[in-house]
Amino acid sequence: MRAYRWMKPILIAALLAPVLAAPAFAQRTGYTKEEFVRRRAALAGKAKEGMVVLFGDSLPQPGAHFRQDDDFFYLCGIEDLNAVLVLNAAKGEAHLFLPRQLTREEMMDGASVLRDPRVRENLGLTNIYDLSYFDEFVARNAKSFALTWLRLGPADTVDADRTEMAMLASRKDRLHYNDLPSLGDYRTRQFKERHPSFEIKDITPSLDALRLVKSLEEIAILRRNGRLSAEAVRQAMIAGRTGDFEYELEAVGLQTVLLGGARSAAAAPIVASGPNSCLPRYDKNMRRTADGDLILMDFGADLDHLGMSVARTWPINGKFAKDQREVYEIVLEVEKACLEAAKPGATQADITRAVDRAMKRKGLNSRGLVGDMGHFVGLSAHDVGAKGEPFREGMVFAFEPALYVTDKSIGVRITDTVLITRSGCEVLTKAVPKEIDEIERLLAAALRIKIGSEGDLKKLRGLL
Amino acid sequence: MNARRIAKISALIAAAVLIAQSSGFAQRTGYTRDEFVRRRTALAEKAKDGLVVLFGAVQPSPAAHFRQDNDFFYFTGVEDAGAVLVVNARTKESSLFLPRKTPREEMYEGPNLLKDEKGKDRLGLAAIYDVTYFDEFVARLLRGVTTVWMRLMPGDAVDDDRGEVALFIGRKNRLHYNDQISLDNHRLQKFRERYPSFEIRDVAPLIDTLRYLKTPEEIAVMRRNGRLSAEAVKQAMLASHPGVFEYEIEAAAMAVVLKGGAKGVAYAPIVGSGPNTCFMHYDRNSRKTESGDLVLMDFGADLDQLCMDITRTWPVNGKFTPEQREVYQIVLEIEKACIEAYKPGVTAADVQKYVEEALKKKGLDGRGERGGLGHYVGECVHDVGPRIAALQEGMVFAIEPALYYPEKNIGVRVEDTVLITKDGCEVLTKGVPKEIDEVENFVSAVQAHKAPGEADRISVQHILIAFKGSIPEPKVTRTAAEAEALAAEIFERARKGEDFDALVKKYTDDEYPGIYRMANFGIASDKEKKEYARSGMVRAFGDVGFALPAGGVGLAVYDPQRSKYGWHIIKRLE
Repeated sequence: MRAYRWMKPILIAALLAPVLAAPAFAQRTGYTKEEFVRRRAALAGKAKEGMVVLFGDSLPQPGAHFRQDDDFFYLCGIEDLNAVLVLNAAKGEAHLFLPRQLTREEMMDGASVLRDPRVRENLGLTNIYDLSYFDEFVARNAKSFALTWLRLGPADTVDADRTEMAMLASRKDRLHYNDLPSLGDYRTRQFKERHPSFEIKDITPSLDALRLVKSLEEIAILRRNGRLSAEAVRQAMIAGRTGDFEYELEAVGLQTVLLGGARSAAAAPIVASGPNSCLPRYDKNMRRTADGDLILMDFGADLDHLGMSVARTWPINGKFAKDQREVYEIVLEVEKACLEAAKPGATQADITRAVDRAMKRKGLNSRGLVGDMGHFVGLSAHDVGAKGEPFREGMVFAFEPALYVTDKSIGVRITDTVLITRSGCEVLTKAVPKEIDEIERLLAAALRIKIGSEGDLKKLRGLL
Repeated sequence: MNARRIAKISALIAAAVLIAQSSGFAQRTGYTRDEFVRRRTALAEKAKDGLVVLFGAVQPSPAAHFRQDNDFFYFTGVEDAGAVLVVNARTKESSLFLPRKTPREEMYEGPNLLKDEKGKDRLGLAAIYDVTYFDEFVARLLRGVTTVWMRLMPGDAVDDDRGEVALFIGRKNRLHYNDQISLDNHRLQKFRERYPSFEIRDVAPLIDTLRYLKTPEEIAVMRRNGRLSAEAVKQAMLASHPGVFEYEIEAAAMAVVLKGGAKGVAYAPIVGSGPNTCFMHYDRNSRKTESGDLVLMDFGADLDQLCMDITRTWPVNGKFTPEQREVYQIVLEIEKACIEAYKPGVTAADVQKYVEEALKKKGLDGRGERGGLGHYVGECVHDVGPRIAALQEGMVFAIEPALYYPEKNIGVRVEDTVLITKDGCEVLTKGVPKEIDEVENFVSAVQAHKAPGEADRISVQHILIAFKGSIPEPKVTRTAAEAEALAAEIFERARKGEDFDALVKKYTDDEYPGIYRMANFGIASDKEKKEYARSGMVRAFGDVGFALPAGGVGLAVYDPQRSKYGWHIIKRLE
């Protein structure tokens, strides 16, 4: 009999268990002080002179754990509301400004780092000041501020890049009553009004250039997040049964990543069944699945302030129908061709060509699907970075080819997030199957198990 | 079988039963059309004259499913971004304005109600218009209307009431660079500039006097949410043991409510352990718990746009210290006394008097905590509502007495959400242990900690009896029932002294000889000796193994969570 090592919970859990063996997965780690020091030094190096001013987030997000502004977090890791960071580019100094809390606030929320005497050292900062000193600080150092770097581009969020944020803002402004400018733009205007003599430059491109290439610490976390997010989709595949609500599958995915230390999902999870699989942004997740449905799940965790993106499509009843299989094969081959072509120096055009070649080789018609699909992944699941950019080692990119055949309720998307390595790429989200026979095998094994059924309980009681 | 084993096993069954129930929980229902029509009619009646203008939320918050503005949802149930509602108080007719989507948006997200010819009837509206028509619509009514009701108070969020939203804006404005006005106020300013002839009045108080008394449909949803959130906290308690991260406890609860249909949580879950129990709003949930810690968990689901609020405090190792117990008992008695006192007509002073007497009867000192009226619960967990003198039927309240001793790392809060009924109150979040004995039994029975008297390390040999599908081994074809019978039989034979090694060789579905070394919780495992950590093993395997005396034989029964590969007959070797 083949050796069967049930002692390795993760290995086996991956195939069978509805719930992961938690202790092996808890893995929120954070970053070292040196990481933030390095990032600030790199940004100062790009700015060369003048002062960089970055404002942190000002309001909590409703019903969620606080998540700091991406750029602000990137440079100091501070998770307090209403903070300001100032970098003196020439001197390499970093000054943090924090609101002074009332005793009541300290009692309710815990003290901010303002009160911690070691924190300046712990964070590698030059100084920590009370926020109300900020304007005086600017006045005292007006010469250095004569060139001030502000973020003139929109702030990105965990799930939307700067362009998408601008797009959402413009959608909001379709009704002029909603056309309030963003807080970022408001701050810029205020700063300019107050200091008309300063030359204001945009720090956004420098931030983006830094964030685009991942550090070793980031790569370690992204690898962990890749495993975790892939495992989450895999658990949802195992748990899904015809008749489940879409949100029940979402719940399985979320449970897995929360147990693993994720603060939340990196984007509103998409679990789209049947006709919904053809709506790329569908995220209501409230339909009841029916026999014959495809499930399209697009998911990623937010672990230590880094996102992830993985999508799989599978038949809820465990078996692809003929026309589902046909569409699936095309998308899969396109996706695999993308991954094969992803390496340093490759441009989107190269990848498109690679996809064409692969299609020809396999005798498939790509039905219009080409190879320029995807987005960078980092602090945001749709991270900063222009699509035309040739790949470099250390970039992290999600390929997400898809085909939607609306009249047949067949929507197929396959997404993997990859790290560009020296000679190719490493698939961070590979731990969830995507080959048709692998998927069908996994689902067949999963469908044999009844989870927590009445029958099991009776047996349990009977035995005792 | 000793008493401890029995306690353990019965808790195991309890856990399994709970899990089985939770699979039947999927229960997102929504509301009927008539509910929204009734609400709009009631609003029109309160306004008497003029137009009510309400703006909907414009975009989802990051990484979350879109959640509509509470007031807007209350009157429409519409979950599209960028919508406007106008209720004509005189005619009681309502018009909805929606942004026209581009074909691209429709392809990505699906069409909105503008494209739905039956939409207006399904929602009981007079008309659905393109939002760009809104100004013309208002202009056409200019001569007939003098009063426009808009929201002059802030809109509440899922977790913050109007006052708290204002408070956060106030905090934001500590730095003048952040002192931008809110979107609500921006709209108001623009509307005023555009229509100077209107008298603008605040609709928020009218809305609040509707929202604070719950309708039968709301009560049905809140009952369901109460059960769901209670179940979540129970599962969180069962997931506790020293060494668990706070966020793992959070995850256990989240899994329950999301599976039950909740869109999200009513507020960022609070799981504070040890020193963190003393920060009322601590929600980082990133600390690793230690034996001796209290865990304070404050949790509630957001189901069908209605919230719930429940808090329990328990010892992570299953046993209160005398000091913790003392504080806990005071808080518990106050909470129970409040629940007893809650009924229509009762004031805060009445409740406090009742609490005082109840404490006196028990010989306890409240140490400054007196109970009283907590906060409303509804679309917002700290729901809106007028200041009231006395309780009324149909109100939903959270009662949350607490005591905090930061110098001792003892923070205790016990909270339930109750519905005021005709002659008392109904606890919506009942069923989560809160009596000291209940809590200790419940938590300690599933403890993942080295119990007193347990060995640091043991070595066991086992027989795995799997069934078809419980392990990925095609040769295992027996059914679960057959496996169960076989396991019982082998267990009996082993206990009677039959050669265990021979039984392993003959029956196990794992490798022969199936001998494993295990290090107990909190003991570093020796990798060189191929020793495994108990925490990395199937839960029941460790529980049974460490409960055995040397040479003893035990049985770990199949359980999808705690012994998922089948039945294990386990012999402790040393």
